[in-house]
Amino acid sequence: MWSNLFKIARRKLWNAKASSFTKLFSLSVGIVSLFYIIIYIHQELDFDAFHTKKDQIFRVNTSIESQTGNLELGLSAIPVGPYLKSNAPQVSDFVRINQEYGSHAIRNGEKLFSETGNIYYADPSFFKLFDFELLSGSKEDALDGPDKIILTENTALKYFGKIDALNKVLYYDGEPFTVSGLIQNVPSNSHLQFDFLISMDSFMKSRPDADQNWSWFPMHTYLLLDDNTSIASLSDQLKKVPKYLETGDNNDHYSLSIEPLRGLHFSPPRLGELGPKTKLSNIYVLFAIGIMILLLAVSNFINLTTAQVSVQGKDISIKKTMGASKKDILRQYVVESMLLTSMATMVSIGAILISLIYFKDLMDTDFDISFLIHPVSFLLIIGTPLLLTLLGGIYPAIRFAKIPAIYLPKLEGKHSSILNTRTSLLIFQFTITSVLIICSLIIYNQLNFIQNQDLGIDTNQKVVLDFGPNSNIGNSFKALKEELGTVQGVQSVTFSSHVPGQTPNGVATKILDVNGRSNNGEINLNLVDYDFVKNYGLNIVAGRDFRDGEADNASALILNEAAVKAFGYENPDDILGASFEQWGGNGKVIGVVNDFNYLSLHDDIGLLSLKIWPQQYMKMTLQLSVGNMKETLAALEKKWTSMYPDIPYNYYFVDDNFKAQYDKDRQFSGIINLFTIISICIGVLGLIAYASFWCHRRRKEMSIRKVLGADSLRLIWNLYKGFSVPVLMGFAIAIPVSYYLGGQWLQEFAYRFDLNWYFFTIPLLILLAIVWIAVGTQTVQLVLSNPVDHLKED
Amino acid sequence: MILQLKNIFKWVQQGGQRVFLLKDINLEVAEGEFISIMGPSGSGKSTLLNVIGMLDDFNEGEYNFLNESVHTLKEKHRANLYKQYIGFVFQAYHLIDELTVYENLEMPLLYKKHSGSERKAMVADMLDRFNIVGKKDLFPAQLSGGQQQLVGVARALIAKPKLILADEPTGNLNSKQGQEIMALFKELNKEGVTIIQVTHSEKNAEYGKRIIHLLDGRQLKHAG
Repeated sequence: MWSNLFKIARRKLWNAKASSFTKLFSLSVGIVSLFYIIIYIHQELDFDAFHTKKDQIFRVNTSIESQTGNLELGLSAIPVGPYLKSNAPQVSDFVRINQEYGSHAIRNGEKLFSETGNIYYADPSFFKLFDFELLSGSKEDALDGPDKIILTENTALKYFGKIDALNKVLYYDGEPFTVSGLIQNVPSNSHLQFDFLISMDSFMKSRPDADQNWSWFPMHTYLLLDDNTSIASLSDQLKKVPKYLETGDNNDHYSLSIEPLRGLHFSPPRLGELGPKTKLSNIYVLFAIGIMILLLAVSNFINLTTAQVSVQGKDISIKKTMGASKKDILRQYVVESMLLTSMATMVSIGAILISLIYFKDLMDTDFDISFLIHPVSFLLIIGTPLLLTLLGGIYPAIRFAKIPAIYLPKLEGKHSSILNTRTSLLIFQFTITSVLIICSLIIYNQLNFIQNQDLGIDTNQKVVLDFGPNSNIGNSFKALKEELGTVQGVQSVTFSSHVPGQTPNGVATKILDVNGRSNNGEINLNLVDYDFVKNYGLNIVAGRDFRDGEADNASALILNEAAVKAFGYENPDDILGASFEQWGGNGKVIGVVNDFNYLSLHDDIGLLSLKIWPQQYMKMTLQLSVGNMKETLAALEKKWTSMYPDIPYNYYFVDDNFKAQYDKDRQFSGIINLFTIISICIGVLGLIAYASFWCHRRRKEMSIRKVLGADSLRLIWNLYKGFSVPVLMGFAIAIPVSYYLGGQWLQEFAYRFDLNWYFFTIPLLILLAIVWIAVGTQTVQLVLSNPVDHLKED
Repeated sequence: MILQLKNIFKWVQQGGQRVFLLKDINLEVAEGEFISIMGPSGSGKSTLLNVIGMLDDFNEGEYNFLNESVHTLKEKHRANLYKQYIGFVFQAYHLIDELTVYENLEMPLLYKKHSGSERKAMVADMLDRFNIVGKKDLFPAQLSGGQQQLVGVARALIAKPKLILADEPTGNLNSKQGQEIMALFKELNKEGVTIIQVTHSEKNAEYGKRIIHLLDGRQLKHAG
């Protein structure tokens, strides 16, 4: 019996190649898409979950209230951790982490590299809170005492060519550090992303008074709580930290709060935070897309299976007269869909094995797919589509089983009811496809929009040489400027502590406000060269630019318009000459520049001040002439390595650096585009297969019309109409849905384009064109065929 | 007696009116009979055959089949009855396209839950008897119309039914093929199988021992 059922199923699938292929393809694509979406979502939701004490770890945040606005920091002051450990009984331990600022030269013999952002200072308790596996070295001592450095496996390989590098010496900005431990590579789903871990004692060594500074916030402080029931009482305690009870000498008010480790990946961004952030809304969108693609695949399945009813009806009737019961018929169709789904599963597994590397590439991360081995997740990923399809196979099977022994095709031949199952499935498919097309168009456009937006600065042909904090270079910057200025192709050189695309430090700044009172605010500070404004093409709105020479050093301040407004000045001219206090220095405001975007267009332009301070220079921006870029860069490298053999030649372009801020958006857009194309493919394939049945079913009607004298164009139009109605209905539903979804997504940007009517009409035209082309060949074939061939039947 | 129809009526509602498909049909069929049902298109021949085959319901009257009163039986029971005793032959052969000759013959046996070895023996027997052993692995599309109908008859016979119902079995065949099928029926009848056939052709009707004429759903008495 069963072998017979399989035989029939196999041959049937083989005979109806087009429809079987469509079902197989859409189902496999559905499974593969779901698979990827699930591992992506899992990766995101599982962020930082590998720490065994994950639910007991909390980070301390600091909020700063000042008159010019509030700041939310993911950072805290150095004494906060020790204070809480000794005063709050709920806190059993803490670890402070500081991300080293700027680029640094690290060397082992010939191997010299510039490292940025991947160097952390940490307390010895690091290993008590976090589960990073130490491969060699001792957890107790590795971070205890100055000048100790821990490397990850990959870093050890990079500098020493082998993992076994314990007790070797590594030069950090010329200072010798002992490798005190080797650590497994940091998993991609950790918000702490580092290659070097340096003992906190090394940090403190050069900053002897820092451990009593309550208004400098360099630390990411993590607390280990006894259990997470004590959060409420701890929050109370945080409000009573004595140093933060009264407002500081600069009128700022500070307050502390805690945030669970597991929530860090999704919470709204705070200043200075570590690790990538993901918006929960993106996860929802992707999940929705995954479900949609799966539903598309399943509805293809149902649609095609039921569309075959006119062909199947005869078979079922015969079998029934031969004595088949309803159960026999049901079994036949279940076996058929089982065969197809298991084939689809095998195809999907093959496709996943082949495509995994490309997906990793697209997502730019390594996936932790070990969870797939867990039987529950395995069952879910493979089981969900299979279950849905079996259901999709059972629905038509039940309908088929009801076909009586005397088959009357007329019963099935009703075209009149607009909302029968198949039409509603078609409408549903078009709705999903339209939503995806419109949304991907919106995302694409917004990304284009922000990337082509006038930033208010000139980022073209600018290359940055990033040498990191190095006061030697700062002190002799003029000589270096002249030296590099002679290189062929370099038009100008200017120094700064930050370049556009990087967040400058926020510092407390006191300025006389419009009412003549001394007012305080947190303002981002970029320490620049006197010709920075000119080189970056900024506009002086009021006052003057910096002048070369000692006079303007540290005592002249240029603000942006946003900062001027924050201090209550309507007219930028009025703030000129106002005195300021900042970072222990003081002087006068000499000029105002236009509000240029020094950060991504996700955010509004923040308050900014520019000041000359050569000792703090970390980068230089070189304006290159067009053409011969490669030679210029090579000449620069040669010159640089001869002048500074200990400082790696580390360069990047300002516009690339700026665009890198949109990497996450671009990645998201890439994923959406990919899945949009997939869903269009599934939809169109389903449509083509469905169209062939549709034409098959209506060929008699068309033949009669033709015999009675209808012309071909009319007939084609007649068939097209049948398809265009579901397209239009699906589209009508899609407009409000995508308007809402697209609007929500755009909310995330401070700068966004206006949604226009053509964002909705162009996809409609595309969709209609696709439908017409897909249906076209078949209808034309039908209309041009000899009507006699079709009238002979029945 | 194998079956008995008493005052059978069948109608459909059309525009608030009853349109009769069968009107007061009375028929007794004894075992071993060969009956031809004749009549013009739309006279109710096929409907009558379907009612006899229990594939179709009727609205009024009594139908006894081998001492079971069909009109009182539940559908499932009725299906079991025709599965066991009735074989069908169709004008359009109605073989399953996806199955070979061998598998088509085997199909009714599957639904009757015969064991594998039994099926093998029965199919082999049938192939032998109809001289189509050489065609057992071909698909219907690879056979001529006459050969397909031969398979159709073989399939109807394979479960050893008491009654064969044939709806214009030669309708799609040329005259030579038609004659062969009719000769086959005659032979089967001699072997004791009861046959009821619907036909248009006077010549084929003559193969039957009794001819029933229908007109507009009514039995023409004079001919019975």
